[in-house]
Amino acid sequence: MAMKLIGTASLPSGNTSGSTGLTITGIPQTYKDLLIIASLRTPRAGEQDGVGFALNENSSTYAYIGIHWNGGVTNQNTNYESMWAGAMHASANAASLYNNHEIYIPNYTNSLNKSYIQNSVANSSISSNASQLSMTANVYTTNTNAVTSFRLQSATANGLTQYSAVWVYGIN
Amino acid sequence: MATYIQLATTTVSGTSTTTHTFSGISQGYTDLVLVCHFKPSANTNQPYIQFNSDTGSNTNYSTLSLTSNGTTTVSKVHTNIYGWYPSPGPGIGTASYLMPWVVHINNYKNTNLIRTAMSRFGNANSFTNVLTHSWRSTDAITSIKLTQESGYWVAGTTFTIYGLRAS
Repeated sequence: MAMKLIGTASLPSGNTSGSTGLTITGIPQTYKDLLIIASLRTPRAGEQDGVGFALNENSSTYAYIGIHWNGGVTNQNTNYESMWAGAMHASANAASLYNNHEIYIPNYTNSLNKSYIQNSVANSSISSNASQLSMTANVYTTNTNAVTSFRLQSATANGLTQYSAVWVYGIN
Repeated sequence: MATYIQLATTTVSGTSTTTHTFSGISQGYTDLVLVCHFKPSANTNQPYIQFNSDTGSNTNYSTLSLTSNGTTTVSKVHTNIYGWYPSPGPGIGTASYLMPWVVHINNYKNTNLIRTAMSRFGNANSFTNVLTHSWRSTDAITSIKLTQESGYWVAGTTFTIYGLRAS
């Protein structure tokens, strides 16, 4: 085996997700790692929103530390919002502007707490200060269950915009 | 499309594994991706990787790191070290779980180039790091040794190496 597309979801033209966002279920347990690629945008007012990432569709409990760079200033934070996993564009940005998102989960089938890394890039069309390159180290501590599903959503429950999409690859 | 081909993997059990070496690495790919999901036996133990039996008693290895602890972010250059580190300087930090370190080694067999890589390390309780590495050798990488300054890898630690190439 190698790298194989095992799931995808997207919002069709004219559709905006509710607060639940995009969900992938029924993830096979036959791979070593998961690589998640997404292209996301939210109808939230303003330039930017946080991406929420829920393993097994469970919104608690997570911890993370992040580095964020907007081209001029490097910032950092920890546990700013539950499930926080990067940034995406909001409605004040150009209509076709979506973020570029990657999450890597090693050993997703083991019976230990799940720790993972995410990267996202959201280049604002309005202000360089609202652009963001982000990397976070995350851990999900609610339980040690194998990952069988996940959900990508607005961290502030504002939903996702049409054409938002996610692809998940099994790696082995 | 680049593909991940698993070349080798190992899972640690017990409390006696201090080192693991992937040897005989295939030269049939363009890049390597090393995925470590690990925890040292103490948070002061610095893990590191070495190549082709180069033990680092010279200036061959260096790492540039951007490290955040959630409050401050610092950038540092680390030279004259024993190998490539996931978290040079502050140590590995405390965590009750395995921590991911993903290392992308580009052009690992091109003997015209010095070996370089980018990596990401995450301990959600202590640090998140973005790193670049160099090993000042033009030798093709044929083996990778994963070790630490002292101690052992805790049970459940896994190391996996993937080959990438155009399919």
